[in-house]
Amino acid sequence: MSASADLDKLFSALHRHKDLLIGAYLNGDGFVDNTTENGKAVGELTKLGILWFTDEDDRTRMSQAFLDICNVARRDELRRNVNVDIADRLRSTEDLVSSYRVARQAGTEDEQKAIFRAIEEQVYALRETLASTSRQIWQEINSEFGHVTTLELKMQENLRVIDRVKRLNDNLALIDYPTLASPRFAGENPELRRLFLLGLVAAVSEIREELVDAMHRLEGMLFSFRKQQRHARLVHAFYQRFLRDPGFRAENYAEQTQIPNIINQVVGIDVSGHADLDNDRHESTFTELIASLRKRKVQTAPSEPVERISVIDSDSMSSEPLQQDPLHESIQAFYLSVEPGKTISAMGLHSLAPDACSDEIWLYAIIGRFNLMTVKERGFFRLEYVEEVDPLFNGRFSIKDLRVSVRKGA
Amino acid sequence: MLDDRSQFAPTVEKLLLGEVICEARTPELFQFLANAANEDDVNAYLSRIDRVLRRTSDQLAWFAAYKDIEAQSARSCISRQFSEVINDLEPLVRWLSMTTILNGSGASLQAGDEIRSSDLIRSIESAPALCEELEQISRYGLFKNAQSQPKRQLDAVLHRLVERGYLVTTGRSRAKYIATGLWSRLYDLMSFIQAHEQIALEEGEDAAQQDELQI
Repeated sequence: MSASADLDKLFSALHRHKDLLIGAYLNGDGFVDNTTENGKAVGELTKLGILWFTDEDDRTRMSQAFLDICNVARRDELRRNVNVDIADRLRSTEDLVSSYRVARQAGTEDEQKAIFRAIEEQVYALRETLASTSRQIWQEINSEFGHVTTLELKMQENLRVIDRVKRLNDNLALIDYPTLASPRFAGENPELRRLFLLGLVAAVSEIREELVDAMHRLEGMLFSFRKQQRHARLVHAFYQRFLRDPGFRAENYAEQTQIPNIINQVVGIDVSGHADLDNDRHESTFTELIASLRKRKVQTAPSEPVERISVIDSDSMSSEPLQQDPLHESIQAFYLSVEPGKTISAMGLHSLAPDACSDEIWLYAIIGRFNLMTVKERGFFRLEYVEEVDPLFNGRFSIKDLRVSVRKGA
Repeated sequence: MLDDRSQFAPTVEKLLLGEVICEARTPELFQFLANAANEDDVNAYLSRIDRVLRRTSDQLAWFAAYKDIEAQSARSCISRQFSEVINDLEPLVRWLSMTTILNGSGASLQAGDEIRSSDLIRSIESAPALCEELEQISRYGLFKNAQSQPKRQLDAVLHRLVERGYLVTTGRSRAKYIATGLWSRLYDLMSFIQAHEQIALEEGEDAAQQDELQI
């Protein structure tokens, strides 16, 4: 049978016998009296594990898991507290162990077996109670108290669950190894030792770990809720301040002698890099990049018939000097105007530039000529940049002027 | 899935770009820094270039700070950045105040919170006081826009917040936003300003009760 069919069966049984179950839960303290009318229903619910037969009397009892589901549904805080009252359950277990010892000495084998089964049931119920309480706590944590909407209520719920974890933890302290190993519980009896010292101790230890994790998580959530509450109060306080005092502006604390560390945060810097053209491994990437570049149409002059160049005997023609580039001549004149011990400024001598030569081209041309100088020529001149920080892009500078002087000893 | 080592360079780059690393913006880098060994690695690297790794007090965002804040270059950068915060503080506070009311839980916007523009506009349009507030914050400063309809004003405000890194869009419709760790950083700075400007916090009072903006 598929899991879905099992669940179908379970839910339809719950639906059909809900009155019986609700009555047992509300009025019967979890017990169902076996009568001829409800025999079939009890049988079906027992098969599904919702009810189980007790040996002591002719009654059927709700399983702990189902009781817990009912408790959660009713959010019956009182019942949950009763559930975690481990001390009571331990006391009754202790009484049963005492009866078991008496039965072993003076009772029949059947009596011994019956009492041992009762002890087993108690231990099982105790383990189930602990596991179920831990499950409930984790359910609340995982839902992040979604059943309440305001921050205030979430904090209250959080504190309540913390309190519950603490109480459960205190209760678990009652079930430590020395107590369970003592003659009050396991003593030297091998069957009782197996029951108490293997199964129960392991279960308690597992739940303790779960509770430690739960506490950690709850404290984290509480920290977060308190932080959120503080943030909301901050917003409210600032909002009020801006309303009361329009134009309110906080002081720039970064301009104090001692800068408070809290306002310390870096301003972004350019972290881009250049392509490494010598790296073979990048070749295919570069090829792809270049291939994806948009092709720009090169402007070409309309093709005209090219006249054949006639070769004339050189002796028969007069030589004609080549026309010099006026900018080239101006740059030459600029560099030649430097006198030893004096500094000339590019913008100061812009008058040397040909007509319609912009400042930018003038500066570029002077730098370009300097870069083309031979080592010997460079030994004569010193070139300094007059820069300004770019107002928009940090880390960039724009050249506003150039200063040229003759190097000492040149 | 990328291994941890491959996250080192993008993490450092983001930090040097002055960005805040949080779950909403760069979840993989945020997870990378959640590992203490990676945090130490990044910090050691930053330390060599006179920077340090820092975390907001709610632990929801990482950012880089200068190691030596007395250096002149660092001072001017910090000053410029803090000045921007001061300039934008009023519009941001008014926006936070609005969203706190709309949220209804008493909590203000936190890193990781989800915002749906359709929900916001529905609530705003049903409350004249909030329409008026939206109109006001759209008139000047950070959120200044020329729109006259609440929906368009809200879109402009949200767009600005995305531009400035306070929100990231999610989903195809781009109508869903997630608050980033920049809000955590802002709250830390507000906390500092509050203490130094002696702005009184009304302890114990439910902050959501904002009389001036009752819906």
